[in-house]
Order: sequence, then structure tokens, then C-alpha cells
Amino acid sequence: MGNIKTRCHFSIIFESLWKFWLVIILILLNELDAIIDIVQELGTGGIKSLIETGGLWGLAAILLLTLVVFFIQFLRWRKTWVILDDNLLVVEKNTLNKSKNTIAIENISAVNMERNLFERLVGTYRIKLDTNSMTTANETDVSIVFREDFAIAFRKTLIERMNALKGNIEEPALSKERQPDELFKAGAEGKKVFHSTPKDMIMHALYTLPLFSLIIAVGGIGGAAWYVSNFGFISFIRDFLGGFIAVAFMVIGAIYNLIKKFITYYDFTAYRDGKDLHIRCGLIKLRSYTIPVDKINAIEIEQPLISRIFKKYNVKVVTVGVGDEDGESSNITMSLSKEQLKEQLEELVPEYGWADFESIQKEERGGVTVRLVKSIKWHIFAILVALLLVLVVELPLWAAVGIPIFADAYINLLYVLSHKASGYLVMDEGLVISGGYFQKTYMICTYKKMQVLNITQHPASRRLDICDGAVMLLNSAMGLPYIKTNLAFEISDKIIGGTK
Amino acid sequence: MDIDEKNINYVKLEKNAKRCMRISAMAVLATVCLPITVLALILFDMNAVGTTILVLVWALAIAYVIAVPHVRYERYRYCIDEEAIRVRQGFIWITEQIVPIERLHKIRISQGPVDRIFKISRVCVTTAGGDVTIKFLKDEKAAEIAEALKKKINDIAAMERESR
Repeated sequence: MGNIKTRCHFSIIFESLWKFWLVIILILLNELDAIIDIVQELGTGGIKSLIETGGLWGLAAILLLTLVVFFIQFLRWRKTWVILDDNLLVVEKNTLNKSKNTIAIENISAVNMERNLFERLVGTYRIKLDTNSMTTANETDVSIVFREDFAIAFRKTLIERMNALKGNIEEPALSKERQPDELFKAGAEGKKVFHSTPKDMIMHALYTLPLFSLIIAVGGIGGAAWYVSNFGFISFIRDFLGGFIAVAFMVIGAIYNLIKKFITYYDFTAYRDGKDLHIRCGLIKLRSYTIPVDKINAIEIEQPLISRIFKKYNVKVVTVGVGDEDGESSNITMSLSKEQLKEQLEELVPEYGWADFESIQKEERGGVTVRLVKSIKWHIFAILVALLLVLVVELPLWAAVGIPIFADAYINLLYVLSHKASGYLVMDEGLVISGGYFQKTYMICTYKKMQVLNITQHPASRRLDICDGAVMLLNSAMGLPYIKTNLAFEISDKIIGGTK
Repeated sequence: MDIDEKNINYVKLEKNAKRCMRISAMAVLATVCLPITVLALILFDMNAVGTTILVLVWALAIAYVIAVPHVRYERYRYCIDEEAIRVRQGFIWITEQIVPIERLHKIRISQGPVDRIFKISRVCVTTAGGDVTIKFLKDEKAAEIAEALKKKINDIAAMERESR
């Protein structure tokens, strides 16, 4: 494919229209009674009575609004151009808000393709591009829709030009012009492919279930079961109808969370091809990511609470362009045992082989003292709140004292958990830092990807000659645990040295 | 080892920076304490307890204006060398920000209304991972630093182009 100037596929007009109709339906659902009246009016008195009651005008207004939205979307589609000019990609919008988004192809960090149900039916693909920019790090920079074959060719051209600029022409990523699914399979030929079974996906959804949702669901079901077994179902419904509905919602919420994860990660497959990582997953919305390894800023090994109990790990990449939108994930593995984790990391990102996260050192013991000093302000705050609740609000003594004590104890529990999870490993290639409260996260980053180092000293840590802080990356930050101050400066020297 | 003891040639700020810090602190307090005082006088009957609290608030505010700018001025220092920019500042918490020169993307000079009175500016350096600002610099010094850094950024960009 040479240089081109084209528009998105025209189905994008109807895709936007569909969203507009969804809003209209939601509004109409809110006015369900009025709609039932209109339908009854139509049945009994015909169109004439509908005109008399003004119902027809409502329908006409919706139709007119649809036409207006259609016209606006049509103009937007007609006046938006996608231009591929040598090593530049330009998205030009000549609508009311004129804009010209010029992106140097060498700065593109990710070229992803995805399709929702509508796009599958119409036969189009959405191409999503992200650039190495801090200002747009948390959003997709360019999102364009093309006909299937054109989208595949367009993506192929972009990746080839990106590779040519990177100087690895000999490794054209995914060179065959085929449907992404076939393309993904073709690229995987001869490579070690990590494919997840439905059982893996269900277990991953369970291992990564948010703690809050789990507590609510288990607590709600447990409480309801206890009440029903002691006082009977009828009594439960009579006394706790609101509670019953709330428990039902909680359980539905937890199950929805599980199903959503299962759908998102359905058929999760990952492999490494040259300098790119390829990930594909999704049941309703098939997502296919190509992540150039040199654009990965850090690797995150996560252990949510349930994973910690069962000694499971899942890996995410910190990079611009993946995980920006709702429902998107930057996972490169599902939940794995330690042995599986090592095997997959070695295959997918051998560049991070130096990071032996098992040898991580615990943060300095002085961290406990600093946290104790920091917690004093919460004790004082709890005492003041308790006094306020007793003297001003006049709550019963147990509640006035119990609530602040519980809150204070919870904050202190977080301090303890934070100390337990905090650790570091300073290597010649980069840093491994662990942290978290209920969820433990290991972050692995090379020095050359670190942008700014912030070192912070609390008066208590100053006395103990320790400090904490943060390392700023392109679209993320790594919190430093309490370490010796001279070690922090050694890290700063390594970061500065890492630029050479 | 304290942050202060690291063997780096830091530069301290000019004297008028302290005055600027004090005026800024006074401006902040005026916008906080004056409305509180006015509201307290209008809404509450000021008995002995209320008056004592108000006096304490103002005493703290005055102590803040006297002490904080002094401590912040004494702590504030920066260092720009061939390798990195370092800015150290703070009152209770001391922070040190370290940016390798090669990470710089953009340089910006800015001036607030109080800065303009004291003829001082701030130089904000932007990296892909966030900004670091060197504040309370004399106008000429800020321009000099910005120019030197701009040259360094251009040199780095030229070197990168050559290495491709």
C-alpha cells in the first residue's frame, strides 16, 4: 500500500446513530407509563386521537432528531480524512471544530485492531493507534474504522513502516494480508504460543475477583442464609425485603464481574514474534494487540488477595496504547503458578530475565517507625471525631467511640500490610519494587525507561537515614519503599547512567 | 546519610526569593484566615472560647508566615550539571527531584503576579514522565538556564538523529 488519502468506512455514521438511539431508548424507558398510554391511544382512537393528544409530535420530534444526528454524523464522516503520507499519519477533521492530528509513524507505540458485534455484522474493523505521549497516555490517540480487507492492509503498511524506521526490516511483523484471526495464527506458526483453556479463564476470573465484591457477596449470602435457616424464608422476605434485593444485587454484581472477565479474556492467546508481543482475546469484542517490546515501560506482576492465598501471579505490561479504555486489559498472561510464570516470562519478555523477583529484599525496618509516627495524626483525628460524636452529635457511647476506633484500626492495618508487601531489588539493569495492601504488585523497570526520580524524607525517616519516593515512568509511577538514603542516590546515579 | 549531605554543588536562591515566598504565604493566609474570621464574627456569638480559638488561628497564621518561608528558603536549592537537574525543597517533608538531562522534552518559563513584582520566574522542565519546576529564579537567571537547557535538548536530538 502506498500513500493514501481516505475516509473511514461509512458504517461509522450508523454506529454513532446506534449510540444516539440507545440514549433515546433509555430516556423512553424512564417514561414507560406515557409510552403505554400512547400505544393504548393508538389502539383505541387511531392516529387522529394520537395527533390530538400530541403523541405523534413526540414521535416526529424523535425522527427529526434522528435525522439531525444522522446529518451531523454524515458531515463528520465526509469531512474527516485519514492521510498516510510517507512517514506521517494525518487525521484531518474539517468539521465545526477543525483539527489536524499529525503523528510521526516512528512515534506510534501500538497498532491494535478490534471489532464489536456491530462491526462484525457490517464487516469492518476498528484500528486503534497510540503514540508515546504523556499527555494522551491514558486514551487512544486515533481510532478509525475501515472495511475488513482495507483495515488489514492499512495495519500491515503501518507496522512495516514502523519496523523500517526502527531498522528491523528483516523482521516484518505479520506480513501476510489476511484476516486478523488468520493473521494472528499465521504469525504464531513456529512460535511458542500460550493458549488459555476455558478453565484457565474461569480460574483467572476467580483469582482476580476484587476483594470488596467478594466480601459483599460472601457476607450478603452468608448473612441471608443464616437468617433464613433460623427464622424462615417468609420472615426474611417480610423483615428484610430491601436487604434481600440488596443481597441479590451484590450477588449479581459479583457474578457479573466473573462473567465480564471471562468474556474479556475468552480464548486468551499470547506469543512473541521478533520484537513484538502478540495478544488476542475476547468473546463479543475480539481484541488483537501488537505490543512492540521496546515500547514497554515496565512489567507488573500482580497478586490480588485471592491470588496471594493460592500463590498465583498474573502479568501486565505498562505501555501506552494498551489498557486505555474501559474493558481493555494490558495482561500478557492469565493467573499462573510461579513455575508457569517463569516459563512464560522467559518466552514472552526475556528482556526482563534479570528481574529475579523472588530475591526481593524487604524494605528497611525503619519503615515501621516512620509509619508509626505517621499514624499519630490518625490517632489524634480519631480522638477528635470521637469527642465530636459524643459531645455534639450525642451518639451512643459505643458508636461514638467504636466508629473512629474502627476507622483508625483499619488505617493502621493498611500501614502494616503496606510494610509487609514493600520490598526492593536494585540490579544493574533496573529495579524491582513490590508494594500494595491486600493486593501485592511487583513492578519491574529498566533504568533507561525511568524519567524522574522523587526522593522524599519525612522528619522521622530523616533521623533514621531512610527515605521513600517514586520513580516516574511514561504513563505510570513506581512507589519506592523505605530504603537507605545513600541507596536512593545510587539509584539516581544508575538512572542518569541509564541514559548513556 | 541525610539528603543534605550528598556531595553535590547545589545553588541556593537569591535573597529576594525569601521575600517572594513570604508574600505568597501571606496571600494564601489572607484568602484563608480573613474569610474564616469574618464568617466567625457574623455567624457566632464570640464568647471567650471562640475569641481564644480565633486568636490562636491568627497566632498560628503569623507564625506560619514568619517561619515557613524562612525554612523553605533555607532548604530550597537546585543543581544543573551535564547529567541531571536536581531540585530540593520542602518544609516538613523534604523532597528531591532528579531528572536526567537526556529525558527533557520541553522547557517553559512562567511568571505569576507576585513573581513579577520581585522580578523572578520559574523554569518548568517537562519529561515524558512529568514536570519538574525550578522556582524563585531571577528573570535573567531563568532565561540563562532555559537557553542552556534548550541547547542541550537540541544537541541530544541531533545526536539521536545521527545515531539512527
